[in-house]
Amino acid sequence: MLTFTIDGQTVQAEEGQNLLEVALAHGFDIPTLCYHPSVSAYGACRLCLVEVTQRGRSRITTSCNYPALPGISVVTRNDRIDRLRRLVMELILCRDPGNPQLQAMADRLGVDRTRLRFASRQDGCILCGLCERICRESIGADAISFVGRGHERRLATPFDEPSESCVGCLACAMVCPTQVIEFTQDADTRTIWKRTFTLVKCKECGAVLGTPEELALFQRKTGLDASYFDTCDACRKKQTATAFAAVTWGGQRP
Amino acid sequence: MKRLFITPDRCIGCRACELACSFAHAVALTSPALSRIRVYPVASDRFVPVACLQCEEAACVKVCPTQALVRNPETLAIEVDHTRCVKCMMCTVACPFGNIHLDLRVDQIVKCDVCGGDPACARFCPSLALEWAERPTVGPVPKPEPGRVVLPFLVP
Ligand code: SF4
Ligand code: FES
Repeated sequence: MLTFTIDGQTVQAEEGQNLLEVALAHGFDIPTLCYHPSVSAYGACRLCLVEVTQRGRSRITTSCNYPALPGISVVTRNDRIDRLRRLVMELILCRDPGNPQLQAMADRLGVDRTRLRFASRQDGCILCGLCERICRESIGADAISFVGRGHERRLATPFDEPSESCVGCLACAMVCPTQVIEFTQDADTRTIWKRTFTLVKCKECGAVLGTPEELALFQRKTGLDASYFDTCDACRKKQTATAFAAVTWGGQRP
Repeated sequence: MKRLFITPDRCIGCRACELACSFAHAVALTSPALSRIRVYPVASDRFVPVACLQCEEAACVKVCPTQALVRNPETLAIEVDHTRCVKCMMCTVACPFGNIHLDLRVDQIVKCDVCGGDPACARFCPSLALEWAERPTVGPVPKPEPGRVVLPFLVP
């Protein structure tokens, strides 16, 4: 346990925690776009700026990848931080001024337009790489990565082909802060990153369970029997009721 | 340590628990369909309430890729950390009892969290089919304790 202050309030943290998670856990409001508590911090969006004072010297830094240190004092908002966040927001916004998620964040920070004109590619991707990290670190599929350099940098599957390691779990699309990872799903198939998966259905009622690849991956990772992955929650709950009834009333009627 | 005890042969099928649960967990809307506890009729006069068993070695916890399912050390209930969840739904598939769901209306994974240590379902169950206690009472349903919420028209 170590102790430091955030906006004058004394807080405690574990060794190895970053400033952002400590601040969020204590109810401080810090804007972020590229942070997700389940994966490593990457420091891409620069919105989580705070001012850290250590041994009399202060500096502005991103809080998501700055360690909690004993004795420091952290300020989450002042004029300088606000000004810098607004500048960063303008830079991010020029990536795609029409993106609703970016507009919402801009609104929240008091930015109504971007003075920059930058038209290379307005696809809403802010290159935060959260999709890549969740895919690699949490799901363990490692299907996408950054490709290209400079203004050509983007996220893609190897050679832009349908990826063999993609399991079609949609975690990337779910965490994308600008919600620009496209996927489609109909009754029998799901398509993402140009790959189409045939969906597995509940063996009782036919409700969609997921893709065969994701079910196999999760089964392999947990070591659970395949029978854990073949029935939907609604049918299972009914089966549980039947099993409880048998325990309660034995062999008598139902 | 208190736990949620379910005694199906006391259940009268009134579904007060479903209503209490969905009120206790109302996010944007309340509806018995949002309830984490569900009462199944197995015969015309027999009902089985089913809710999360908070398994010691829980399949949902094992399968979750983002450690979004965390046991609360005080209540022993497994809770969903919505900031971590990526809605992959693998927990809903892996739970062998079907006690964790994705609710599309609130777009969240929902499961019983024993209301943080005072489950509304047990508070509103008029017949002690649900009890939040160290151990369950046995035998015929005892007289309601003072302060216990009882819906008069539902007393069996
Ligand atoms: S849906 Fe959420 S809680 Fe369930 S396994 Fe996936 S990430 Fe974990
Ligand atoms: S959250 Fe820290 S840089 Fe994006």
